[in-house]
Amino acid sequence: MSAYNDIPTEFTEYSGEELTRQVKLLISELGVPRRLKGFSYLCRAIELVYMEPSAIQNVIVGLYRQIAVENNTTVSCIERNCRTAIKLLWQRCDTLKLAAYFSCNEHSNAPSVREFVALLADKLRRNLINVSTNSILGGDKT
Amino acid sequence: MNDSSKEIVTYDDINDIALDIRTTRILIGLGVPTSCKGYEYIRRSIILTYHTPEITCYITKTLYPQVARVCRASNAANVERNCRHAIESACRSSHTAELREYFGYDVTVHRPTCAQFISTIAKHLHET
Repeated sequence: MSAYNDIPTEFTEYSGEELTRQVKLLISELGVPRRLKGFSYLCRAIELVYMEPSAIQNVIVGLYRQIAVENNTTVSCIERNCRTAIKLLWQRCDTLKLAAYFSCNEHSNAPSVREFVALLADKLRRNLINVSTNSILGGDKT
Repeated sequence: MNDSSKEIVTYDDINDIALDIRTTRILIGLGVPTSCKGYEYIRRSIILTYHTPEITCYITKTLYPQVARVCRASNAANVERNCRHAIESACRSSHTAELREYFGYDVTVHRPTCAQFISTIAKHLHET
């Protein structure tokens, strides 16, 4: 099926600063523009879901509320910014490869925030992503 | 299978980490949305079926309650409903080529049942 032949024999558990760095590298490699507020909100959301995988079930009450309290804004503001960030990612990049990555149709809309965050947190948790060698989408993503 | 409804499988081996990662790769490649609860239940069911392949014969009596206990779900019916929803979303996604390669037929016409889905992937994990 896929070209992966290497299974990591141990997990690399990230925490704290290292986790933030890895997540920021991951999202920017995918192509989310760094200048957006949604970039940092998505980064924080992925960190939270990485550390506590059941947090993805309560998105508005749990995740957004916590990020809103940390950033001194409202829940709807966080939600709108995250949605804008993903929409811009979808517009900028090669939708064919991204759709295969996110299990969407390439002609449909962008994945929802919940699916985006859950997928990246899960992949990061199980070390299926190698952010340093730019092999996320399996090649160049221009 | 005498007392298997009371067992809880724990993951201590190095082999189980590799199995976990292989299952995750397959499930994401098939297009199961990660945000579904059924994703987590299916992954746990596949790992349990890998270790005891005949558990799919006692799926409602043994497999679903065990998954519900491990994954902290409400009851077996919830597990089954969420698994069914996850499989439905996977069959609706654009990964029809991979699905066809696993199941051998067009999944949009005839959707596989939960037991078929789980046992097919567990068997594929055995063979590769």
